[in-house]
Amino acid sequence: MMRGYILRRLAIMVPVLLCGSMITFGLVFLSPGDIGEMMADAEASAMGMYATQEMIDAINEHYGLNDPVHVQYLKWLKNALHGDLGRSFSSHRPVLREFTDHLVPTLVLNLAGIMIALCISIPLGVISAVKKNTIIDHLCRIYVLLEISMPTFWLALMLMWFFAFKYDLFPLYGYGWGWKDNLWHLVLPAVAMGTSMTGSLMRLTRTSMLETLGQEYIVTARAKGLGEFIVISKHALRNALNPVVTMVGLFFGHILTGSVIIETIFSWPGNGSLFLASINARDYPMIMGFTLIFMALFVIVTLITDISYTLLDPRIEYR
Amino acid sequence: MTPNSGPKGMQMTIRQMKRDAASILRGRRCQAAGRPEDLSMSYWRQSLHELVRDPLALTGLAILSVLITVAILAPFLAPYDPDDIQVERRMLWPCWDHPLGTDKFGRDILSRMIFGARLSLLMPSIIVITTLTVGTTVGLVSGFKGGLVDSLLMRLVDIKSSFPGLLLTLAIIGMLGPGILNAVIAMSITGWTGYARIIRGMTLQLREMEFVDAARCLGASDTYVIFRHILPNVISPVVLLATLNMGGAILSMAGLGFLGLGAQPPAAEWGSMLSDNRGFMFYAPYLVVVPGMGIMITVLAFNLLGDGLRDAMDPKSGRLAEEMRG
Repeated sequence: MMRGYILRRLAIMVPVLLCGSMITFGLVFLSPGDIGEMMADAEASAMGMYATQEMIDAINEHYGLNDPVHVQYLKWLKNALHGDLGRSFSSHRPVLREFTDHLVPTLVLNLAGIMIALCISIPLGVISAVKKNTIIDHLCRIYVLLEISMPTFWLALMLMWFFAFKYDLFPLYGYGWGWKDNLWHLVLPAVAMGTSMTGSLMRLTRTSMLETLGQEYIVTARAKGLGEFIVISKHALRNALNPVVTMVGLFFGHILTGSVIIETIFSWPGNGSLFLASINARDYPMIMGFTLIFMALFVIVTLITDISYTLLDPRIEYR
Repeated sequence: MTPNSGPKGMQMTIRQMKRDAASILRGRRCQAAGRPEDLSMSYWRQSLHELVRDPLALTGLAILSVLITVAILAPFLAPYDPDDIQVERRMLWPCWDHPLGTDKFGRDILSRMIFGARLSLLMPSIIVITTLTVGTTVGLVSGFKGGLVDSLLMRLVDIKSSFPGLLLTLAIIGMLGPGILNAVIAMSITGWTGYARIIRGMTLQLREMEFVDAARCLGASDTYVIFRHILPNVISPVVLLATLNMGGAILSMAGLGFLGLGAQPPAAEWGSMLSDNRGFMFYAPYLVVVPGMGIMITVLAFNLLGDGLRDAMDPKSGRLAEEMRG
């Protein structure tokens, strides 16, 4: 049953990814200007020259830019499937290499951020639900409201100003050398990233927990004479966490867009800041390549999230 | 043949049917809201009553009224020209002449904040209105027509959903080039799918209602049925969603402005003001604190109002917002 479900989901992924790749490829046609000319300029500037008409013609010929659109698309797709997403206009390195080189900092930052978010929002969300309508609950809800209204970049700048400048506790920005230094540099960006997720996570945990606490099996557990802590942590929390898992999956899928701002502010050498730099430089192969890669990753993460439900809640059956 | 040319008796029957359907709907809504059905008031007035009793929602509404007034009356309220560069008074800390200080070019921050309210409120409004119109139209057509049109449009929505968050927006801006207009275009292209999905779901339910059948029997065209009978019934959730999404749109546009992809200097916009003055943050923190507070208070006001509206109108709290995201 489960295997059938996964296979079917994988089969659906194919047309979705195909359409996504078409959209990604189609984005180029939004761009003003001639792509062949831009590539020629990029090649020429690497050699310290200006592009001539002959170079433009040669590039058009070489990359098949005179071919009909569908031929170009199929060629691009074929190359992409072989792991060749072209070369960056600005660094002249393969797009895939650029991506893998900057992947580790992004992953580390996002994982640390998600961990911090979970450590803050799950306990507070649970307390807020258990102590409903007390002063703690009200404080938590005010925090949520303020947090979801706060721009992430502003929070990051304020943290930077307070902890790195005023009290000089952490480095201002950068990545550091060696793992100890890395960790030291990681603290502020990760806290900024984590805090920006706590609002929605706390709200979700609270709602989900309130719903679960109203269930009959909670009454049963209490009637059996179980301690309140066991009832909440073992019977309620485990069942309440399902929607939270979905949201964490979503956050993880949003890895790139979520960290563009934080990475840029803290000069963190990840994929997010690289993507922004590519946008500002109009580096088309990079923009297309990164869009395609992150779309594919997002689809895969979504699938993994869906599958992980069964592990958490055996009542869910897939058809 | 339009329903107006139908026999008079039939007209009356349809009116009765619509009234019946409306009262059933209202009964259901009130039941869901856990409040007694008050027949002396319409559903809308009852929601309004509920809203007026909510102090937080009223606070949000009050803040928004002030902000909108300030934005409209900006030329009369601002003490200085927001783009006036006066080198001799640059980087002044808040003082009597410049209540919020001046920036590196000696421009008055208060005036820039006041004028910034225009762009910072206008752009998200344009985005929300565009996405709302497109999303509602697609949702109505898709839900009402069904069949091939429906499948095609909904696949389009699915494919859009396979791009995470702002990725497609960023990619589109990357291709079009940074700029305020391009940012609005990119946000509008990517934002309509959530509305489309919800409106489609509601249309599917509504088109099975008796008053729709009756109108069709009278020979009403599809367009007439959609605009006259279905659209009025989906308006209230649409208003609610628009309010809830305004906060998000403001944050996104401010974020794009901050990244240098939205409003370009020297335009006064809160997000780009923040990134403009970032370099001076340690010397003059007010340069960063003030625009950030502006954004936060505006978004907070929309969130307060949105939450209040939701409690008054869509009591299965967050159901719509949840669907929108998924």
